[in-house]
Formats: sequence, C-alpha cells, structure tokens
Amino acid sequence: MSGALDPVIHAPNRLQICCMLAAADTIDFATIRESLDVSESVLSKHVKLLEEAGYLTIRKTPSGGRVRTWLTLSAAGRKALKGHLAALNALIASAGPDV
Amino acid sequence: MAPPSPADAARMLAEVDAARTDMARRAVAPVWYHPALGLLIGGLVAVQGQSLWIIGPYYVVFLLGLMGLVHAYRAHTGVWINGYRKGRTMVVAVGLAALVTTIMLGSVWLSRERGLAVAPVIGGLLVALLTTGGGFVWEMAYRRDLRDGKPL
Repeated sequence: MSGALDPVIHAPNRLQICCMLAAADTIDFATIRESLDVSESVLSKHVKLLEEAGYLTIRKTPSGGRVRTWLTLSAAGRKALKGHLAALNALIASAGPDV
Repeated sequence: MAPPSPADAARMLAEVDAARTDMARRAVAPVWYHPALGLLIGGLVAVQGQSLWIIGPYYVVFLLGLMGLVHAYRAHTGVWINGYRKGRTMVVAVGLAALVTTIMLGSVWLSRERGLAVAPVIGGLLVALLTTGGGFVWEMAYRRDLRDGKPL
C-alpha cells in the first residue's frame, strides 16, 4: 500500500499515540501519558492537535470520584496513520537494504 | 514538512514497534478476569434447564456482572479492546462464540427434548472452562497481532 506522510502524525509522540490507539478501542489519557513518559501539558497539546485534525475523539467518564479521559482513534485518524506508515516503509524500501 | 531520511524513517518505525510492545504489555487482564467471565457465561448455559424464576434473575446478574467486568478491566489496564477486532483475535473470538452457542443450544435441546436435566449443567461447566481458556488464548493472539504489526 502506498501512502503520504502526514504532518499531523509526523511528530514522534503523536505517531506513538496514534499507534497505541490503533491497537485498542479506547485508552485512558493517564495510560498514554505514562507510556510516553511525558507531562500532562505536553500530552494535552498533542491530543488537541490530533483532535483538531479529526484524528481522535475524547470522552470523559466519572470514575471513583474523579474524571477519566478516554481517547479513541477516528476512522480518519486510522486512515492517515496507515498512509503515514506506508510512506515511511516506502522511504526505507527505496533506500535499499543498508538502512 | 521535509521528508525524513531513510534512517529517520527506520527510527520512527522502531518507535512504532516500541509503542505496540508497550500496548501488548499493558493489555493483560487481571488473573481472575477470564475465570470470572467463564463463570458468568457458563452460568448462563447452566440455568437454561431451570424455571423462568431462576433464568430471569440470572440474566440481571449476568448483565450486571458483565458491566462490572468491563469496568474492572478498564480500571486495571487503562485500555478497552473490542474482542472482535480484526486479526487472529477475531478468529479466536468468533470461534469461541460459535462453540459456546453450539453447546448452549445442544444443552437446551438435550434437556427439553431428551429429558437430560443435567445437560445444561455439564454444558455450563464446559463453557466456563472454554471461555476461561479462550480468554487467555485471545490475549496471546492479541500480543502476536501487535508483534506482527497487523492489522491496524
């Protein structure tokens, strides 16, 4: 499959966020933050960019007296991620076996 | 946006693999989760030979139990995954659902048509064991799917 590099997904943290979300239906904000080992504010900025691009949706649910934030990759986000990964693979393939 | 060099692209894909590996590590249910799910579904089969006064309340217990399990899984892992997601996991989930349905219908038939009152209980026990084992098989299939990077 061929695809195009996506400027929204291109940043390493956002690429990882999308890949994690692609492997699940929904993931807790705190779980992703722990996995990426970034601060809440940094993750919030990445999430906001992805949400503005229509690549993920956010849902808040009450849980044990606090609110948990759940992130879900949208169909558009999944499609963009597939294209981005295909483009990265194509780049590597074009460079030959030395990479 | 300037395209990355092939070396950068390879580094990015390595980070993708790391994210998938991390997901595979996190999406592990508590050890009691699959046995509890097995008991709930096995119970659903086992009560089929009983009166509506038992079957009716059990459906309530079943639904509340399922909701409790989903809540506990999400709280424990911080993740929710559809059992019928594409890949090897779907094969396991559909196969398990087909087996459970067949055993359930067979038990009801044996009980009502052949007078084997014990059939739903035996069927329920079988379903409980299959569901418990199937849950662990599903998790292995999920980890393999992630390791292979497919499907998205």
